[in-house]
Amino acid sequence: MKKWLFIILLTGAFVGLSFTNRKVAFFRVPEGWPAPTYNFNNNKLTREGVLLGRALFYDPILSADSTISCASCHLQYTAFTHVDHNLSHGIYGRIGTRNSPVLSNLAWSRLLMWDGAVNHLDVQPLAPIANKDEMDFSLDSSLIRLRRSALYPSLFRQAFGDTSITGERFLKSLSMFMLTIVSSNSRYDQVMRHEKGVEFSQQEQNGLRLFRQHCESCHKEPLFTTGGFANNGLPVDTLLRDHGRMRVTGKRSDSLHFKIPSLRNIEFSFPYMHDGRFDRLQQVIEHYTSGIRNSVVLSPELREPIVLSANEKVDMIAFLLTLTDKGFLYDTSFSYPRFLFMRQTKE
Amino acid sequence: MRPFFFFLIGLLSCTASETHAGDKNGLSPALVFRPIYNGKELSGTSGRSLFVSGDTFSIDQIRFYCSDICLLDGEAIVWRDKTKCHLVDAHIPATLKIDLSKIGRRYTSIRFNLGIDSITNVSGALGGDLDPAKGMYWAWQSGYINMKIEGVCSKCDGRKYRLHLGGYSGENATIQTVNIPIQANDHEMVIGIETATILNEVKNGTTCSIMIPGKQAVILSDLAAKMFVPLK
Ligand code: HEC
Ligand code: HEC
Repeated sequence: MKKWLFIILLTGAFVGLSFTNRKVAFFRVPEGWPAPTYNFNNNKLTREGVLLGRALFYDPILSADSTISCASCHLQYTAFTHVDHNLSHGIYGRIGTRNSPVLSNLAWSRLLMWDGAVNHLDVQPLAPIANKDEMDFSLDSSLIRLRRSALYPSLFRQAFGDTSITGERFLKSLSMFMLTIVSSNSRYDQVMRHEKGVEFSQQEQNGLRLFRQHCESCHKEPLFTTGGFANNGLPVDTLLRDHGRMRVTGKRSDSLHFKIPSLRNIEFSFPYMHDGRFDRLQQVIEHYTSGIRNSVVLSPELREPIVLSANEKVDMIAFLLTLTDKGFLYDTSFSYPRFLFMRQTKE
Repeated sequence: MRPFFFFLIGLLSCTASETHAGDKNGLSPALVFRPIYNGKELSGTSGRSLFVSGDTFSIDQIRFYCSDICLLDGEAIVWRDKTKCHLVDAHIPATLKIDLSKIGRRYTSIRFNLGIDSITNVSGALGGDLDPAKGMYWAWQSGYINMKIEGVCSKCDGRKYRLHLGGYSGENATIQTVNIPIQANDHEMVIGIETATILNEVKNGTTCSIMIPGKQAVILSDLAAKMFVPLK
């Protein structure tokens, strides 16, 4: 009796496993990475769903005056951040109050936005769409436009089986696309995977050592963030008066805490920090070695001053540049889906 | 293996046995919400106010989530709604009546939540009444709005009041449990929503606008739960 039960349970487990594997077939967890935090069982990735999400991501149809798309502020070749602007520019040329963060490896993220105000990737698009400074629109009006368009009813049918365009489907397809934006093939990754012929220079190796000593506690490998919040000692911008996480939690101890950003593709994601105050990595390193503003809310990891020689600073930057993933920045499966929109104009 | 089988049979037969007055004539019971203001029934077609008092006060919108409806016999749950959540809108009569499936058991009270539980609040995009397109979801900071009451009040800045009650985490949690005793097992359980309970706070100028989770939302949600009263 017991033996049978065991066998039944075992087959059950196998069937269950292969089933869940099939559901996330589209999504490959890079070797040695932790399990994603995103629950793929509630949103099974499909090729068609990802394509729909990609179309929505690049389509200005989602903004009030049809000029701004998600991609306006999240450009692929700068790791999906807003190039050259410290504060993201949105609709009618208005300037928002924060720098747009890099979008990648979102399947591992927990709370989103610099202050963690968004609790799930699916509901993230609601914020920019409704934000007066960003797209100045509403989910409801977006859906009405999509229903009337020549392109979307058929894309929704391909993705979900019928032409019904609901908020749930809209949000889930955007998630599907954003989840596929994975960066895991930088030179750092190749070295960690011991790929043939790829090695760190002595400088980079030393940079990694220093990084692990001073930065790892917050910018944890392999994602280069713990997903948590910290105060890294930036003096508050007196004009913007952005207190970060405290706005959401109401806790004094969260004052000036911001989400710890990933450092992947940091070479291209300038300007840096939530308000884009630094243009170059040198400035960031200077901040960590001599610019930290001590206060009661400063994160404990940074209480001890970080001392780096001029050479060590150079080494650290050399290491940070190994996080660039060129394949990711030019991966055509994330880029503007010209073929879809061309078809539309022909029709 | 066998005892489990008998247990299943037992479970099935037990739910089918006892009947009660409500089910006898073959009708399944229903929960009916009746929004009122100082005892006066509120109604209005879409886009129109539900209540108007001159040009100094009106009630323009009442919407709320009613979730996890249960019927209880004493302390024991004898029936639980399979539909997790209903969006009730005073402007849409169909949403004011919730049909409960055949119950077949005696019950002494009805219990439901006013609002959305915390797990649902962190579950991403959901459909049906929970679709964020229903306008009961905050955009800039994730979370459902459990209840919206809006209208005109001359005492308020810009003459408008807007109570958007929500918040799900820690001390900002606003979900409320409402318990209403049922006298007879009638076909329709009519529950009044006495909006004056909460709107007196607006009329005396204490609270005109709540748009974020926090202390005020918690206090008003507490009050909102007290709006629900048995009507006979
Ligand atoms: C006007 C510029 C702008 C537009 C348009 C825009 N975003 Fe953003 N995005 C930002 C900024 C700025 C932030 C950070 C906001 C904050 O922290 O408050 C952000 C944050 C995000 C995040 C959170 C990333 C993280 O790791 O926390 C995601 C995901 C995102 N945007 C996706 C989108 C999608 C999808 C769209 C289109 C529906 C979009 N964005 C449109 C500027 C923009
Ligand atoms: C206490 C945690 C903590 C430690 C330790 C830490 N950082 Fe940071 N880092 C942060 C936070 C939080 C931010 C975002 C701050 C903001 O925008 O206000 C950040 C931002 C950055 C950025 C900008 C990223 C972007 O996309 O804008 C870089 C680069 C960076 N850190 C590098 C480093 C380096 C190099 C070290 C080690 C010398 C280090 N950090 C140590 C918490 C930390």
